[in-house]
Amino acid sequence: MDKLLVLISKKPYRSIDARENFDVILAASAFSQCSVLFLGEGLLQLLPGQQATDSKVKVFTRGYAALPDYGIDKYYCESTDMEKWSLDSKQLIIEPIALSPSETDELIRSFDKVLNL
Amino acid sequence: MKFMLAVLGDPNHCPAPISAYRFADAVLTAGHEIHRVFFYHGGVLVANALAEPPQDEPSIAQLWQHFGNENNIELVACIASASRRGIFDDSEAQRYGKPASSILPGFILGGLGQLIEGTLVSDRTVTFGS
Repeated sequence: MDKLLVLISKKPYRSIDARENFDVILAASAFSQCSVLFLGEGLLQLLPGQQATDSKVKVFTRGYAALPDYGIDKYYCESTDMEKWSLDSKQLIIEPIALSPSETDELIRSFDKVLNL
Repeated sequence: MKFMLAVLGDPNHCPAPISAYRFADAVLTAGHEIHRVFFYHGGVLVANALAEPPQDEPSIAQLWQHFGNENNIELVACIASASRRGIFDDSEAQRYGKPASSILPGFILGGLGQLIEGTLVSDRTVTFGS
């Protein structure tokens, strides 16, 4: 089975795009051995306890907790993004592996296919 | 080389659909192959048959329509993104009780599986983002 890396870089609630990209991850899990790399503001999708009730938006980010049930158990991010927002991977909905820029390059090259969203 | 293209940007808000079109044209001119063009997010609005740009402006939708037809390349609009944005084919219009179909001829509705399958069988997937 091909190894597919999905790149997620949209912040969670600015538009419907991030919600739709979550659906791509779920679809990808049915066709491939899928991993996810969170880049830039995309990492903010993994913050727990997001409240979107007042803006009448579905809190889709809770769904990340279910990804292991879809066979997706490898998540990555960049350590520079973790530092930028003072995040600890243990506090996030799922625990990504933080990579240096050169490790990120290596990771992307190690996959058969890459889908940049 | 075989390419899969994903057009994510709304034609009225960003240059993604026209950039993708120019890229697609260059890909074929260079002798490469395009497996499929998948329209997602606001990109599905390229397939809106009810939109009418002013007569003195080029129609991105018509450019794509012509490109798909001339080169026999599948133009797929994501069915979920499309229904959110008012793009329906006959059967979806009927299913949701809408008064009419609104998808431009030459485009078809399809699922995310077609984006993933296209990515897996192509050498490169190039996204034109929102």
